[in-house]
Amino acid sequence: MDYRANFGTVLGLMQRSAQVMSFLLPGHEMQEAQNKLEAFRLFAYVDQELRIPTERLLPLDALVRRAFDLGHHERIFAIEGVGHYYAGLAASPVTGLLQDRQLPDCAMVSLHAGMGTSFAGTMLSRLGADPSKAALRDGLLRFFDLCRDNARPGWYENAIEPLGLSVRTLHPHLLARAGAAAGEIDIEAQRLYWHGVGRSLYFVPMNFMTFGGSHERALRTAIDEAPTVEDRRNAVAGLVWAVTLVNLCHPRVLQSLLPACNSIRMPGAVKNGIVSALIVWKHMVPEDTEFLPLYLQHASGSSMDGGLWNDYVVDPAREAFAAAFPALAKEDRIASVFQFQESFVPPVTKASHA
Amino acid sequence: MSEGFSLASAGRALDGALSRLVNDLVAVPPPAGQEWSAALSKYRGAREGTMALIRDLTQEQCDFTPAPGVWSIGQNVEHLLLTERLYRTQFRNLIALAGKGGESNIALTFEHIDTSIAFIPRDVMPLLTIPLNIFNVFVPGIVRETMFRIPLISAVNPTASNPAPYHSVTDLRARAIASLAETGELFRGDLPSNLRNMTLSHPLLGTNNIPEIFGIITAHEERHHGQMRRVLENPRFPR
Repeated sequence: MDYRANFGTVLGLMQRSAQVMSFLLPGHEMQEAQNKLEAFRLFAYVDQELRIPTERLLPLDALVRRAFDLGHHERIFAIEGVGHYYAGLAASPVTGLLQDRQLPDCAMVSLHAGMGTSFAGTMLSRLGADPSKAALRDGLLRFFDLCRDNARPGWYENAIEPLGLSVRTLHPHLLARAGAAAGEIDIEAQRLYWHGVGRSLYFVPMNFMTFGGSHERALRTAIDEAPTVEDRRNAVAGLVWAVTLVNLCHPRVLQSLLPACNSIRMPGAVKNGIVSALIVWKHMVPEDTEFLPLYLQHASGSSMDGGLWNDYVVDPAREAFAAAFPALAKEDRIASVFQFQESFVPPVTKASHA
Repeated sequence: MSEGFSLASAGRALDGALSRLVNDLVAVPPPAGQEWSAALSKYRGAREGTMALIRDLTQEQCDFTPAPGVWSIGQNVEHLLLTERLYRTQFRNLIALAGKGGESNIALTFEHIDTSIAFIPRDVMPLLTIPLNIFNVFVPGIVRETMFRIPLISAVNPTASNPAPYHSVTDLRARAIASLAETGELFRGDLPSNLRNMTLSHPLLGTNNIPEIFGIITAHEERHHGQMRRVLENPRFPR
């Protein structure tokens, strides 16, 4: 019995059921469930979605080209799956995986995220259940080196950010220790780590169901689990980023998140998560004229929801697209949005991360 | 942040267990020719964990038992090495059978591996062969592997992997490395092309191919890491 294929079929059925139910039930929950399931299925079953042959490994650029045949939104998760799939199968030791200039720039965010998730998963699985402090540090250093050796110049942060996602998802007992160990090596790695943790909180089983106050629960978890103010900001920004990007084609899901975001009184982190996600969307799908404009349009009227939408989404997004996005894109520094920043004005480039 | 027990930590642990299960279930199988190196690599990771646990032990620490009937760290390691030897023999048999062609499964019974689960005497297990075989048809290998990794149900080891009470810690360290090398050696060079179709079946363990068997013994070794850590954390453990 092929359990992998059967589970994929079950995911597809759940997704279709949610799609049907979303027409029948009010609220955003069913649509959100459908979007989450689709993002996960495209990532985990990319080999089936793109009909990748099993008898030989196709070149990476050929896989990416296949993903470009999908819809705009499907493409970003499929390419992340491609990065994960390819990095997992590449012969070890691997170098220069994403440095091929044939690979389109707009695939970089997803490819680096997928590759980092694969490298982090492999490194963590080899650490055993309860590694010593030294073993954990060695593992993280190996992971950072591997990402540096395989990332395209300027995309290192994008590659190491999924470490937090992998730890929180698969090895949550190491959450605090791995965060501290990352910080001892590089304080920026610690910020990226907690951003990744925040992203994972949208997908972990306890928050996967979109009912019963899942947004509030995920936000509360992000705040409770992160040990410092800076880490909390990154965790909240990462979580909000995931909600924004996964549901980008359905802005009402983000709209439904805003009251919960408003209640935690961390406007900077929330705005950062939303705008960062919109920036990477613009980078990944530059030709989109359908969805991004929805996030740049002021809500009319004086309702509470409209006010939140304008404050948290439209005003910061307009500001970012007027100044920061062109500068980041010009300097090949889109990866710098993978952590919380007070402002999107590009900071000074760190040579060590090039 | 407290790392002690709380609802939040229990929720996180549940998140981790379910996520690992799903992650293993959806993992893309390695391409033809890489199955053995991928499976061995995971097993090597578990053995490195074992080595890390015994690297600095003195003989007294290695032999310490926290309570009557509880294994010392040395006994745990000896049990792991005996288990590896047990399955290495089966790997060898599977490779030989694959070389001959024809049969693709070796069916073991409780006479070959007399393992059991909590509260069920070994002698009773053979009577459960048929229901267990039916049960195993419906349980994915990854779920069985998870049951090995998470000690929700205590297991009774086969007689063949029953460890003697005392072992030289130096000897255990050397054998832990040598045994892994010996297992790895089986999968070097030209292997029969149909080896990936070969399976080993047992009423309690189900029907597993070689990567799945490696998955089980890796999970088993990781489960014993927990047992060994509990010995290390015992307040009476010699410091």
